Amino acid sequence: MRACVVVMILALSTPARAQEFVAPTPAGPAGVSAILEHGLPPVGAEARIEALAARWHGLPELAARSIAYGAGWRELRWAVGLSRFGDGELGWSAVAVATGLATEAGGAALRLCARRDAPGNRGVECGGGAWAPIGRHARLWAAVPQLWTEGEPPPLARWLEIGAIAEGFGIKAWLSRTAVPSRVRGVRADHFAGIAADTGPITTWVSLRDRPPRGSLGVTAARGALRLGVEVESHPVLPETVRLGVSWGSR
Amino acid sequence: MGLALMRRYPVSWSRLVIAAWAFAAGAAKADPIEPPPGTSEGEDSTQESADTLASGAVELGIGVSGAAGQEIERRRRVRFADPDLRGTVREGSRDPLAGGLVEGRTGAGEFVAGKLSPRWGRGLLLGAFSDPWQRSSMEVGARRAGRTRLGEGVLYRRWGGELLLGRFSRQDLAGIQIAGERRLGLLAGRRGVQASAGIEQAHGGAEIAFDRRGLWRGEGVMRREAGRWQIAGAMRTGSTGFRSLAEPGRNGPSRALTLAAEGATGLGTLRSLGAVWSYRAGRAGGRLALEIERPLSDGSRFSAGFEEQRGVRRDVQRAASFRQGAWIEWGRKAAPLGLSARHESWGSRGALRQTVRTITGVGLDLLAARGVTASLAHSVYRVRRGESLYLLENGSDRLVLRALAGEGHRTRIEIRVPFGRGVVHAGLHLDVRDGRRRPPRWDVEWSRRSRPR
Repeated sequence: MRACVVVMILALSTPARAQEFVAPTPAGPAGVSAILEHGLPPVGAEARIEALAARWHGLPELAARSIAYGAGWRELRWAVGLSRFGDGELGWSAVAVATGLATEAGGAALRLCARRDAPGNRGVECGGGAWAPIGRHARLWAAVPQLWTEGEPPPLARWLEIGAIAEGFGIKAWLSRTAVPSRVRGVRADHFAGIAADTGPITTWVSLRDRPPRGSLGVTAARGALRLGVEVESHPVLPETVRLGVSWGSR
Repeated sequence: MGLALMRRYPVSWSRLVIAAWAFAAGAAKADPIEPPPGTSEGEDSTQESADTLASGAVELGIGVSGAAGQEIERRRRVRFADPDLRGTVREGSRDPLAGGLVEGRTGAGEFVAGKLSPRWGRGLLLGAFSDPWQRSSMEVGARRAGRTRLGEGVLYRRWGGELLLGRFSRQDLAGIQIAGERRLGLLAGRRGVQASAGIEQAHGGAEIAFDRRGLWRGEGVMRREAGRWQIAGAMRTGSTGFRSLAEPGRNGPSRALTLAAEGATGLGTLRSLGAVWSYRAGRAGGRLALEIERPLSDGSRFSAGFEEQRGVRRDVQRAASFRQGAWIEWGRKAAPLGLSARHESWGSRGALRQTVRTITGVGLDLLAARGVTASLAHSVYRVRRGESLYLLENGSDRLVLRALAGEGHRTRIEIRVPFGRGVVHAGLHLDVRDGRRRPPRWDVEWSRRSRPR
């Protein structure tokens, strides 16, 4: 019965975004999770280890626990991550690797994620992403996380995502559009917009999604190499989704 | 003629004002991709790349292509260019460009033998005449890019004239043209005789073609510069039943009026195109397109456009349709990483409602060390049944307009690697359509350009 509820919730929520390595951060090409989940390499080459936890819609069966490490050398960027999503028959384990190049003038990376569920079914997805600056204060990114899939289909079909983020005066604003396949209504687009404010070591953001309308509130705090983050996302029908992140970087 | 078209084609005064402004404002350049004239609806179209070979050079290409579970197809090509002789030979199973072409000089004359795509004047008698809703209809001159192959035969040029013997549309034809600023042409075959007369100047041209039954067609184009604006207009009129002997299967509108303009404004380069046309009574159409393109400070370019289409684009089209579309595009061609993105959406009702086709695409170009380049083009599309949407794909030696149907996503990955004094070009197509993954298609070609000592 509980499994049926979980399946129903998964069908209702239809999140277009990633699952395993979602970090509580504003959108865009930044951080270890961006290169692992979207193939968007960060500009900085800092090494950072990140521990992530998420509970989707308040259900322990939809809890994700991940650990990821990312680093860089000159223009080269890479990251690796391990994740466990859910429990019991509905859960799966995932390992992801990503590598790419990034400079101030742009970046591109390839990502690969392999999963294995409880019955032993295996699946692999391969994709990538790229970003480029628009002027001095904005960047455009494009990501195709599942360019190629093999074996067991991924839990969520993730098609092309295009987004742009503008930064200035300590404010970030972003808008992205993701193509989402639907067996009932065909390919449709989901939109994601948000705004973040940097106030010293604290970054706060709010974001909105459509289909169905959802909002989220997040905050990160940094002290030295340590960074903590939390994000809560609402849903019109289901309970909230909570994400936590702790990371330690080289600087 | 224009007023007659207006009467047949219901255009309101407000649209006329918009059309007049469009005429004064600019001509759509980065239009949505349309197949070349004569391409059947929903069919792929392949054209040779407009790549030219330097004099004295020889190019050799050997390639294979295939897909999982299918037989491997082989392709070979040789191109050579010399001041007195140049040519191309392509060979390959199911290669739409297979065939040969040799161009050379003999004494005071020039000859072309093999695949022919000649164009006399405006193309009414010989050569593909333009569709009035396309920007190419504004072009002046016989040698235009993107022409499709018409037939095979021999063409001989001397003393400003041309003599043609060939096979076009499964019939033998002979023709003669006296070319120059004023030109006369005659084309004869078993099915009849046709003639044409025209003038060709730097800023315009006109042609009238007729046959023995008295059927005729005339077309003229004129380009002018007015300050910072380039303005062009084209008009076509004539008999409904006129068909070119060389291409009897192709029937463009018998009457058309096209106006286009392009100029710099404070917002960027503004282009517009307005056209109305008619095949016969009750079979008319119109198009209005506006586009603005603005270079940004970082070297990237931004463009956006809007377009409205009404009526029919084919004589046999069952029902007239209304389409309104808009697109937005950004791109930056920079080394080592270039990125572009485009979104285009069309609706069958005003304000882009009732979406009938939509496509979102990104392109990535990567310039690596030692001349290695890689590119990726990915598009997500949704096309309602009965609609046409084309995707431009660059091959090693060709341009392919891929007709898309249904919904899905398509990816092309290309890598060019210098190898063996040449270049290895490898491509991979990944195609997911209507929820099913198609067998991935691949192609590999090694080509080399050399200049014999």
